Amino acid sequence: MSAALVLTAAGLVSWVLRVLFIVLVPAHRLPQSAHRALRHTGPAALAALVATGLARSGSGGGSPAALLLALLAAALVARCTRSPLLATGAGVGAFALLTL
Amino acid sequence: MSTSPRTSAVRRAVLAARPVRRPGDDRPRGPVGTAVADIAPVMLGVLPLGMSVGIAARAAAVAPTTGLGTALLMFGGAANLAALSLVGAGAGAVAVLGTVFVVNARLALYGAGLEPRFRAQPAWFRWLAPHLIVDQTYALAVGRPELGDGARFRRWWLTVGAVLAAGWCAAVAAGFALGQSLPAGSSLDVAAPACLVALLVPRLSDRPGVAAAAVAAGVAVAGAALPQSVGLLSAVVVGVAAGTLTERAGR
Repeated sequence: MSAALVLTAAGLVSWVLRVLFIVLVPAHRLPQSAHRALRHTGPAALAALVATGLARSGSGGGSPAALLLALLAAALVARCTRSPLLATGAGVGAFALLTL
Repeated sequence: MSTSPRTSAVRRAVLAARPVRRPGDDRPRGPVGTAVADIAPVMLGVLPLGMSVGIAARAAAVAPTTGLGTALLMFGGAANLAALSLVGAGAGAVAVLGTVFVVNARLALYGAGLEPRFRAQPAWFRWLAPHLIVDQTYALAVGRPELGDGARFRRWWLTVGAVLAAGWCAAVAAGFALGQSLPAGSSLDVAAPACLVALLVPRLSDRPGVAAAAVAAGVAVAGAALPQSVGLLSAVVVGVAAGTLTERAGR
Protein backbone atom coordinates (compact mmCIF):
# COMPACT_ATOMS: atom_id res chain seq x y z
CA MET A 1 0.00 0.00 0.00
CA SER A 2 1.43 3.43 -0.91
CA ALA A 3 2.19 6.09 1.70
CA ALA A 4 -0.63 8.28 0.36
CA LEU A 5 -3.19 5.46 0.75
CA VAL A 6 -2.01 4.58 4.28
CA LEU A 7 -2.18 8.23 5.36
CA THR A 8 -5.63 8.63 3.77
CA ALA A 9 -6.82 5.53 5.66
CA ALA A 10 -5.37 7.06 8.85
CA GLY A 11 -7.48 10.15 8.17
CA LEU A 12 -10.57 7.95 7.84
CA VAL A 13 -9.76 6.22 11.16
CA SER A 14 -9.54 9.65 12.81
CA TRP A 15 -12.88 10.72 11.32
CA VAL A 16 -14.64 7.51 12.44
CA LEU A 17 -13.39 8.10 16.00
CA ARG A 18 -14.75 11.67 15.88
CA VAL A 19 -18.25 10.71 14.67
CA LEU A 20 -18.44 7.48 16.72
CA PHE A 21 -20.39 8.88 19.69
CA ILE A 22 -22.09 11.65 17.70
CA VAL A 23 -23.65 9.77 14.77
CA LEU A 24 -22.82 6.05 14.87
CA VAL A 25 -23.60 5.36 18.56
CA PRO A 26 -25.03 8.69 19.84
CA ALA A 27 -23.82 9.41 23.35
CA HIS A 28 -27.36 10.09 24.64
CA ARG A 29 -28.03 6.37 24.26
CA LEU A 30 -25.20 5.62 26.67
CA PRO A 31 -26.09 5.03 30.34
CA GLN A 32 -26.48 8.06 32.65
CA SER A 33 -23.34 7.10 34.55
CA ALA A 34 -21.33 7.40 31.32
CA HIS A 35 -22.77 10.90 30.79
CA ARG A 36 -21.67 12.01 34.23
CA ALA A 37 -18.20 10.58 33.66
CA LEU A 38 -17.82 12.38 30.32
CA ARG A 39 -18.06 15.75 32.07
CA HIS A 40 -14.57 15.09 33.44
CA THR A 41 -13.00 14.38 30.05
CA GLY A 42 -11.96 18.02 29.53
CA PRO A 43 -9.84 18.57 32.66
CA ALA A 44 -8.44 15.03 32.51
CA ALA A 45 -7.39 15.28 28.84
CA LEU A 46 -5.94 18.79 29.09
CA ALA A 47 -3.97 17.94 32.25
CA ALA A 48 -2.71 14.71 30.69
CA LEU A 49 -1.56 16.52 27.54
CA VAL A 50 0.31 19.16 29.56
CA ALA A 51 1.87 16.58 31.88
CA THR A 52 2.98 14.37 28.98
CA GLY A 53 4.63 17.37 27.32
CA LEU A 54 6.40 18.22 30.58
CA ALA A 55 7.56 14.66 31.18
CA ARG A 56 8.98 14.36 27.67
CA SER A 57 10.58 17.79 27.54
CA GLY A 58 13.82 16.51 29.08
CA SER A 59 14.30 13.79 26.48
CA GLY A 60 14.07 16.32 23.64
CA GLY A 61 17.02 18.31 24.92
CA GLY A 62 14.80 21.00 26.42
CA SER A 63 14.81 22.38 29.92
CA PRO A 64 12.04 20.78 32.03
CA ALA A 65 12.54 23.25 34.92
CA ALA A 66 12.19 26.27 32.61
CA LEU A 67 9.14 24.72 30.95
CA LEU A 68 7.54 23.98 34.34
CA LEU A 69 8.11 27.55 35.54
CA ALA A 70 6.80 28.96 32.24
CA LEU A 71 3.64 26.84 32.51
CA LEU A 72 3.17 27.93 36.14
CA ALA A 73 3.38 31.55 34.94
CA ALA A 74 0.77 30.76 32.26
CA ALA A 75 -1.48 29.13 34.88
CA LEU A 76 -1.18 32.12 37.20
CA VAL A 77 -2.07 34.58 34.44
CA ALA A 78 -4.93 32.32 33.27
CA ARG A 79 -6.30 32.22 36.83
CA CYS A 80 -6.11 36.01 37.23
CA THR A 81 -7.23 37.12 33.77
CA ARG A 82 -9.10 34.13 32.25
CA SER A 83 -7.50 35.20 28.97
CA PRO A 84 -5.89 32.41 26.90
CA LEU A 85 -3.97 35.00 24.86
CA LEU A 86 -2.40 36.68 27.91
CA ALA A 87 -1.71 33.31 29.55
CA THR A 88 -0.05 31.88 26.42
CA GLY A 89 1.98 35.06 26.01
CA ALA A 90 3.06 34.91 29.65
CA GLY A 91 4.19 31.29 29.22
CA VAL A 92 6.18 32.04 26.07
CA GLY A 93 7.69 35.19 27.58
CA ALA A 94 8.66 33.46 30.82
CA PHE A 95 10.30 30.60 28.91
CA ALA A 96 12.23 33.06 26.73
CA LEU A 97 13.49 34.88 29.81
CA LEU A 98 14.42 31.68 31.63
CA THR A 99 16.38 30.24 28.71
CA LEU A 100 18.24 33.42 27.69
CA MET B 1 -8.75 57.93 49.99
CA SER B 2 -12.31 59.28 50.16
CA THR B 3 -14.67 59.84 47.23
CA SER B 4 -17.17 62.66 47.08
CA PRO B 5 -20.88 61.78 46.63
CA ARG B 6 -20.85 63.60 43.29
CA THR B 7 -17.85 61.56 42.03
CA SER B 8 -19.52 58.33 43.19
CA ALA B 9 -22.72 59.22 41.34
CA VAL B 10 -20.79 59.94 38.14
CA ARG B 11 -18.83 56.70 38.53
CA ARG B 12 -22.05 54.71 39.06
CA ALA B 13 -23.59 56.33 35.96
CA VAL B 14 -20.54 55.49 33.85
CA LEU B 15 -20.52 51.91 35.11
CA ALA B 16 -24.26 51.57 34.44
CA ALA B 17 -23.88 52.86 30.87
CA ARG B 18 -20.98 50.51 30.07
CA PRO B 19 -22.08 47.28 28.30
CA VAL B 20 -21.68 44.39 30.73
CA ARG B 21 -19.87 41.36 29.36
CA ARG B 22 -20.15 38.40 31.64
CA PRO B 23 -17.55 35.65 31.17
CA GLY B 24 -18.66 33.64 28.16
CA ASP B 25 -21.20 36.20 26.98
CA ASP B 26 -20.88 36.49 23.19
CA ARG B 27 -23.81 38.80 22.51
CA PRO B 28 -21.85 41.96 21.75
CA ARG B 29 -19.86 40.11 19.10
CA GLY B 30 -22.11 37.39 17.71
CA PRO B 31 -21.01 33.79 17.15
CA VAL B 32 -18.59 34.50 14.28
CA GLY B 33 -16.75 37.32 16.08
CA THR B 34 -16.70 35.29 19.28
CA ALA B 35 -15.24 32.34 17.41
CA VAL B 36 -12.44 34.44 15.92
CA ALA B 37 -11.66 35.94 19.34
CA ASP B 38 -11.67 32.46 20.90
CA ILE B 39 -9.44 30.75 18.34
CA ALA B 40 -6.90 33.56 17.83
CA PRO B 41 -4.80 32.88 20.95
CA VAL B 42 -4.99 29.14 20.30
CA MET B 43 -3.34 29.64 16.88
CA LEU B 44 -0.17 30.79 18.62
CA GLY B 45 0.23 27.28 19.98
CA VAL B 46 -1.02 25.45 16.90
CA LEU B 47 1.29 27.03 14.31
CA PRO B 48 4.61 25.59 15.61
CA LEU B 49 2.98 22.13 15.75
CA GLY B 50 1.75 22.51 12.15
CA MET B 51 5.24 23.44 11.02
CA SER B 52 6.58 20.33 12.77
CA VAL B 53 4.09 18.22 10.79
CA GLY B 54 5.30 19.86 7.54
CA ILE B 55 8.92 19.13 8.44
CA ALA B 56 8.02 15.52 9.31
CA ALA B 57 6.17 15.13 5.99
CA ARG B 58 9.25 16.31 4.11
CA ALA B 59 11.44 13.95 6.14
CA ALA B 60 9.09 11.04 5.33
CA ALA B 61 9.58 11.84 1.62
CA VAL B 62 5.87 12.15 0.85
CA ALA B 63 4.70 14.45 -1.94
CA PRO B 64 3.73 18.01 -0.91
CA THR B 65 0.10 17.41 -1.94
CA THR B 66 0.00 14.19 0.10
CA GLY B 67 1.54 15.88 3.12
CA LEU B 68 -0.88 18.80 3.00
CA GLY B 69 -3.90 16.65 2.07
CA THR B 70 -3.36 14.18 4.90
CA ALA B 71 -2.71 17.03 7.35
CA LEU B 72 -6.23 18.22 6.56
CA LEU B 73 -7.66 14.67 6.54
CA MET B 74 -6.17 13.74 9.92
CA PHE B 75 -6.44 17.24 11.39
CA GLY B 76 -4.44 16.41 14.49
CA GLY B 77 -0.79 17.05 15.28
CA ALA B 78 0.15 14.08 17.46
CA ALA B 79 -1.43 11.39 15.27
CA ASN B 80 -0.13 13.00 12.09
CA LEU B 81 3.43 13.21 13.41
CA ALA B 82 3.29 9.58 14.60
CA ALA B 83 1.88 8.38 11.25
CA LEU B 84 4.48 10.29 9.23
CA SER B 85 7.38 9.05 11.32
CA LEU B 86 6.14 5.45 10.94
CA VAL B 87 5.64 5.86 7.17
CA GLY B 88 9.11 7.40 6.92
CA ALA B 89 10.55 4.41 8.80
CA GLY B 90 8.83 2.01 6.39
CA ALA B 91 6.25 0.63 8.87
CA GLY B 92 3.28 -1.37 7.53
CA ALA B 93 -0.29 -0.12 7.17
CA VAL B 94 -1.54 -2.03 10.23
CA ALA B 95 1.10 -0.43 12.49
CA VAL B 96 0.31 3.06 11.19
CA LEU B 97 -3.47 2.67 11.49
CA GLY B 98 -3.22 1.03 14.93
CA THR B 99 -1.03 3.86 16.18
CA VAL B 100 -3.37 6.53 14.82
CA PHE B 101 -6.31 4.73 16.47
CA VAL B 102 -4.62 4.73 19.88
CA VAL B 103 -3.34 8.32 19.64
CA ASN B 104 -6.73 9.65 18.52
CA ALA B 105 -8.96 7.48 20.73
CA ARG B 106 -9.53 10.44 23.07
CA LEU B 107 -11.31 12.21 20.17
CA ALA B 108 -14.13 9.66 20.58
CA LEU B 109 -14.50 10.80 24.20
CA TYR B 110 -14.53 14.43 23.06
CA GLY B 111 -17.22 13.54 20.52
CA ALA B 112 -19.32 11.95 23.25
CA GLY B 113 -18.95 15.08 25.36
CA LEU B 114 -20.02 17.34 22.48
CA GLU B 115 -22.86 15.09 21.22
CA PRO B 116 -25.64 17.20 22.84
CA ARG B 117 -24.44 20.21 20.81
CA PHE B 118 -24.62 18.19 17.56
CA ARG B 119 -27.85 16.24 18.25
CA ALA B 120 -30.33 18.79 16.85
CA GLN B 121 -28.10 19.93 13.97
CA PRO B 122 -28.67 19.12 10.27
CA ALA B 123 -27.37 15.76 9.08
CA TRP B 124 -24.52 17.27 7.01
CA PHE B 125 -23.24 19.05 10.10
CA ARG B 126 -23.47 15.94 12.29
CA TRP B 127 -21.50 13.87 9.76
CA LEU B 128 -18.90 16.42 8.63
CA ALA B 129 -18.37 18.97 11.40
CA PRO B 130 -17.01 16.48 13.99
CA HIS B 131 -13.93 16.39 11.76
CA LEU B 132 -12.97 19.67 13.45
CA ILE B 133 -12.81 18.06 16.91
CA VAL B 134 -9.33 18.47 18.38
CA ASP B 135 -8.10 19.17 21.92
CA GLN B 136 -8.40 22.92 21.50
CA THR B 137 -11.82 23.07 19.78
CA TYR B 138 -13.27 20.66 22.35
CA ALA B 139 -12.00 22.78 25.25
CA LEU B 140 -13.25 26.00 23.62
CA ALA B 141 -16.71 24.51 22.92
CA VAL B 142 -17.08 23.25 26.49
CA GLY B 143 -16.30 26.79 27.64
CA ARG B 144 -19.13 28.23 25.52
CA PRO B 145 -22.32 26.58 26.85
CA GLU B 146 -24.34 29.74 26.14
CA LEU B 147 -24.10 29.08 22.39
CA GLY B 148 -26.61 26.27 22.82
CA ASP B 149 -27.10 23.56 20.23
CA GLY B 150 -28.59 25.43 17.26
CA ALA B 151 -27.50 27.78 14.49
CA ARG B 152 -25.38 29.97 16.80
CA PHE B 153 -23.26 27.01 17.84
CA ARG B 154 -23.09 25.88 14.22
CA ARG B 155 -21.75 29.25 13.01
CA TRP B 156 -19.32 29.46 15.94
CA TRP B 157 -18.02 25.90 15.38
CA LEU B 158 -17.57 26.31 11.62
CA THR B 159 -15.75 29.64 12.07
CA VAL B 160 -13.43 28.21 14.71
CA GLY B 161 -12.76 25.21 12.46
CA ALA B 162 -12.22 27.29 9.32
CA VAL B 163 -9.70 29.61 11.00
CA LEU B 164 -7.94 26.64 12.59
CA ALA B 165 -7.84 24.68 9.30
CA ALA B 166 -6.52 27.69 7.35
CA GLY B 167 -3.78 28.33 9.91
CA TRP B 168 -2.98 24.62 10.14
CA CYS B 169 -2.58 24.28 6.34
CA ALA B 170 -0.43 27.40 6.16
CA ALA B 171 1.80 26.14 8.98
CA VAL B 172 2.17 22.64 7.45
CA ALA B 173 2.97 24.16 4.05
CA ALA B 174 5.53 26.51 5.63
CA GLY B 175 7.14 23.62 7.52
CA PHE B 176 7.29 21.57 4.31
CA ALA B 177 8.78 24.46 2.31
CA LEU B 178 11.33 25.58 4.88
CA GLY B 179 12.16 22.07 6.10
CA GLN B 180 15.31 21.67 8.09
CA SER B 181 16.32 25.33 7.71
CA LEU B 182 14.02 26.16 10.63
CA PRO B 183 15.76 26.37 14.03
CA ALA B 184 14.95 23.42 16.29
CA GLY B 185 13.42 24.39 19.60
CA SER B 186 12.32 27.94 20.34
CA SER B 187 10.23 29.80 22.88
CA LEU B 188 7.24 29.40 20.57
CA ASP B 189 7.32 25.64 21.23
CA VAL B 190 6.03 26.51 24.71
CA ALA B 191 2.96 28.19 23.20
CA ALA B 192 1.08 24.90 22.71
CA PRO B 193 1.34 23.60 26.32
CA ALA B 194 0.85 27.15 27.68
CA CYS B 195 -2.36 27.46 25.68
CA LEU B 196 -3.55 24.07 27.01
CA VAL B 197 -2.83 25.30 30.55
CA ALA B 198 -4.86 28.44 29.81
CA LEU B 199 -7.78 26.27 28.69
CA LEU B 200 -7.41 23.93 31.67
CA VAL B 201 -7.25 26.42 34.55
CA PRO B 202 -10.86 27.73 34.26
CA ARG B 203 -12.11 24.12 34.39
CA LEU B 204 -10.58 23.51 37.82
CA SER B 205 -13.56 25.06 39.55
CA ASP B 206 -14.78 22.06 41.56
CA ARG B 207 -13.31 19.09 43.41
CA PRO B 208 -14.18 16.42 40.79
CA GLY B 209 -12.54 18.53 38.06
CA VAL B 210 -9.41 19.05 40.15
CA ALA B 211 -9.27 15.33 41.01
CA ALA B 212 -9.69 14.35 37.34
CA ALA B 213 -6.90 16.72 36.27
CA ALA B 214 -4.50 15.82 39.10
CA VAL B 215 -4.85 12.05 38.68
CA ALA B 216 -4.66 12.29 34.87
CA ALA B 217 -1.49 14.38 35.12
CA GLY B 218 0.08 11.87 37.52
CA VAL B 219 -0.75 8.88 35.33
CA ALA B 220 0.48 10.76 32.22
CA VAL B 221 3.86 11.42 33.86
CA ALA B 222 4.11 7.80 35.03
CA GLY B 223 3.20 6.52 31.56
CA ALA B 224 5.19 9.01 29.49
CA ALA B 225 7.67 6.32 28.55
CA LEU B 226 4.93 4.06 27.15
CA PRO B 227 4.78 3.82 23.36
CA GLN B 228 2.62 5.96 21.11
CA SER B 229 0.36 7.79 23.49
CA VAL B 230 -0.88 4.67 25.32
CA GLY B 231 0.09 6.54 28.48
CA LEU B 232 -1.92 9.58 27.40
CA LEU B 233 -5.06 7.57 26.73
CA SER B 234 -4.69 5.67 30.03
CA ALA B 235 -4.24 8.98 31.85
CA VAL B 236 -7.48 10.38 30.41
CA VAL B 237 -9.47 7.24 31.28
CA VAL B 238 -8.09 7.01 34.84
CA GLY B 239 -8.54 10.78 35.33
CA VAL B 240 -12.19 10.58 34.25
CA ALA B 241 -12.70 7.68 36.69
CA ALA B 242 -11.10 9.71 39.51
CA GLY B 243 -13.38 12.68 38.76
CA THR B 244 -16.44 10.42 38.78
CA LEU B 245 -15.48 8.77 42.08
CA THR B 246 -14.83 12.17 43.71
CA GLU B 247 -18.21 13.40 42.51
CA ARG B 248 -19.91 10.32 43.95
CA ALA B 249 -18.08 10.70 47.27
CA GLY B 250 -19.22 14.31 47.52
CA ARG B 251 -22.93 13.49 47.20
